[in-house]
Amino acid sequence: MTTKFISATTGAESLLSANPSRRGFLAFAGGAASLLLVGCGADGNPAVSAKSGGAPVKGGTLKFAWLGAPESIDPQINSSFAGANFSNNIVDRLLFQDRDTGEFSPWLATKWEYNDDITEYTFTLREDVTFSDGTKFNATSVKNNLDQFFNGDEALGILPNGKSYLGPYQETQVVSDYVVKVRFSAPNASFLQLSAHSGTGNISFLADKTLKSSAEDRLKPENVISTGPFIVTEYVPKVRTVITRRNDYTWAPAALGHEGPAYLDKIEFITIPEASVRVGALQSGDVPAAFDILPTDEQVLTAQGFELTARINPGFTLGWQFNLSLAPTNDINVRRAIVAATDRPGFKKTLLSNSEGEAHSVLTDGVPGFADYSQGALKYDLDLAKKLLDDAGWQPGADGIRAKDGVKLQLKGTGNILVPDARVTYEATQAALKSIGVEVEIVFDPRNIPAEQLTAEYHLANINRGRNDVAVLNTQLNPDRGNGAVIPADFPDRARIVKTFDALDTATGAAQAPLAKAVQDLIHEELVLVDPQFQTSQVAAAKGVQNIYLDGADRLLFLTTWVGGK
Amino acid sequence: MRLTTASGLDALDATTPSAPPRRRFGVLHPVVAQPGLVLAVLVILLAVAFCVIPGVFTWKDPYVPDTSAILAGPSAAQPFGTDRLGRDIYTRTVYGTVITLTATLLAVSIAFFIGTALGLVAGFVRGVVDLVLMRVVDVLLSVPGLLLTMVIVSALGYGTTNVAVAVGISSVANFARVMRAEVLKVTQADFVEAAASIGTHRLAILLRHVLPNSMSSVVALIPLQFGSSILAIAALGFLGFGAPPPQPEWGLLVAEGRDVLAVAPWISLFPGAVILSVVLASNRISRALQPERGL
Repeated sequence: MTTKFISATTGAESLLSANPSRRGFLAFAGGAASLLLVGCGADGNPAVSAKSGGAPVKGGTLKFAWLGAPESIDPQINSSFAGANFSNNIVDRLLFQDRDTGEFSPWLATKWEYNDDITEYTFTLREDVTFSDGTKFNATSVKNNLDQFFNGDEALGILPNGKSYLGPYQETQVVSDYVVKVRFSAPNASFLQLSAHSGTGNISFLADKTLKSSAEDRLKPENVISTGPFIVTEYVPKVRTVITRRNDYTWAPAALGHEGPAYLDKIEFITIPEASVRVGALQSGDVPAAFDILPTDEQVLTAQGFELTARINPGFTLGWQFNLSLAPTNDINVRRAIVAATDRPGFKKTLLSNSEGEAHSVLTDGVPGFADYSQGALKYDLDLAKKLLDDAGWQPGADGIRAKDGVKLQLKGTGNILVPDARVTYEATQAALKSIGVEVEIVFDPRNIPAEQLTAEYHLANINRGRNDVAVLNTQLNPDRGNGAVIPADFPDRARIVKTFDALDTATGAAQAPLAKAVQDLIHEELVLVDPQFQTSQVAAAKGVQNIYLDGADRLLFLTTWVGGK
Repeated sequence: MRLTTASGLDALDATTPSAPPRRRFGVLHPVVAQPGLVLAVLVILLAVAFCVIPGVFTWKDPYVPDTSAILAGPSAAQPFGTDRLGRDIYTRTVYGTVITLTATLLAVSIAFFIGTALGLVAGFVRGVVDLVLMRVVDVLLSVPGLLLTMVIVSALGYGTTNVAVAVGISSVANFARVMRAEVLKVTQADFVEAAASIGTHRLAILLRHVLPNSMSSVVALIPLQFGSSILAIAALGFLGFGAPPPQPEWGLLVAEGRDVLAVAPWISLFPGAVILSVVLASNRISRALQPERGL
């Protein structure tokens, strides 16, 4: 049985929000300003030694600068990076996922179980949880939210935002006041992780009043009501979003080791799109903390006494998906050669920042089910790459570019403009490929390329998709879903490939590991669907701010953060 | 009191009446009097030489990364320093000249030929044709230049050639305006009326008398437009509309250093300085070419 995802996109879904103003003319000015500020910071403002630990201090406002801005304050719409980061602080999840082990623990649900087919999940909810308008959070809340997340509400102008994430969702049944059953028409193992997920496609629970508000009304903070440790109190699109502490919050996930309300009174998210200006604001003391720190600024900020909080983005490693429908990437030897010519360990040594990691698989290291291919299919070996091409009959032409039967090894690829180091690693790979007779033209800002054109013309498509679950491979690469590698309909053994991917939905936890390994074997060894470059990271920098916490999906959770130490 | 042409030499003489006899230095005069202009010409010549024979100025490869010299500062071996892949910025700047200057040449040619033709027709034919053409030119002028180019590039697609075409089209108006004004002035001249009175064909008047005599201002506009086109092309390259990496287009070189401005300012500064000097130089030459005013 196959599961159909309605809108699994083929194009790379970026982790970071697309923000056109980054290309603004202010760049020159910003750059100059940053230079000046660096000069000041060195001698002007000695670093206050901000030691971690000590007793947390209650109170205070945190000004937090970042790249993007939530496109809406409705947590169910927030598919952008900034949106998910902001809303993570005003909502709670059913389950909490440990960011290191991937294990689940109670949050809004105290108990959960699923049937053998993994088509039916039963959650037992906490009974003391209230929305910030005083109404109770119960089984009906879960049902109403899931229903609207999946179906949308045409009359209110609410889109079916969760349709592609909930997959084969059938219905939610209220068993009793605090017991709820979620049913699927096909196995959906990844729903367990989705119930703890805080990144794109997360499930947020909103009060009845919000669910009955129109899309337009949900832009007003007073209409956005949830159960989280903070309440949104001010929203100026693309400028500022303010959240304020909820004093009666007592249902923090036990695994976080925190009880009661948050420490901070208020958090002001301020949008500063230009990286150098953002870092400048940090260095000048305008803001004590900033997010979306570029890898290139890590060293400078560390040297200036800032504390960095960094984590690898769980999910896909950043890299290229091959297009299997286009010549010459339909030749597996070409794909193998490109993978062998990518110097992943070399990138980590010379190009990447401390927080970024070497790619060992299509999955990042922390994702449950990850297997390491760095010594196998992903080993860097330029001679092997050459030999593969030679043996496959790709002969160097007069211009140094290899060709076979009139087809030249000239490829088109997309890059990623939002992750700065993607540019450097892609260019290094491009140069390495050039040296073995493969020419790659890279469009570094693929946001204007329509999806059809991507699949019709591009041999290499950038991908970095976030989710701390192996399900991300299924969504993106399963030929019956995202089909990111554009596997043609008449591909040999296609049915078996689909089956291998679909199997991921039929098991969880330890039982899923061999299935995840089988899918990664398929991706790296048998078919060679991707050429991973490196593991991207999220970095926050701060001075005098303690416990900035990046959760399992690398989204910010300010429950345990406090200001002080001066 | 200036009765003859206001050349630099005369101007100098006028301000220094007691200057010693200088006939024996005659050959050196332009250099002494206008060192800025000479420098400007030298800069442009050097840029052209970068274009034609880049191999003479550097022996390195602008594309090959060197992991042993990543983000190295300026030194004797790498006068402009290296970038994040260890590529020599100086070499990349030299090789980038070809891309930027060729695009500039294309842009200026488009603007010059189309603009001049429009201005000539509008100024000579007058009437409705003039009215329509000049209103179109007014529209072009009313939209900020860079915005207009970006709109055109978005329509044409990214790439150096498209950027050059866009920059060219958006500066058509400048040439058209100047050309029309000159044509209007020249058509009033006695010799044109004389030619008409002896029955010369209108087309012959246009091509033989009006066109050559209206060119001087437009020609002076070329270097000026050259400078601003370099800026526009580099700006679009900076914004990512132009040549795709790893091509060493000047604007792209500046953009590449943007994220590491704090740690490696040379990546942006040196190519930026090169852009600045070439633009300044072409502006200086344009000023020298401007026909005398106030006569």
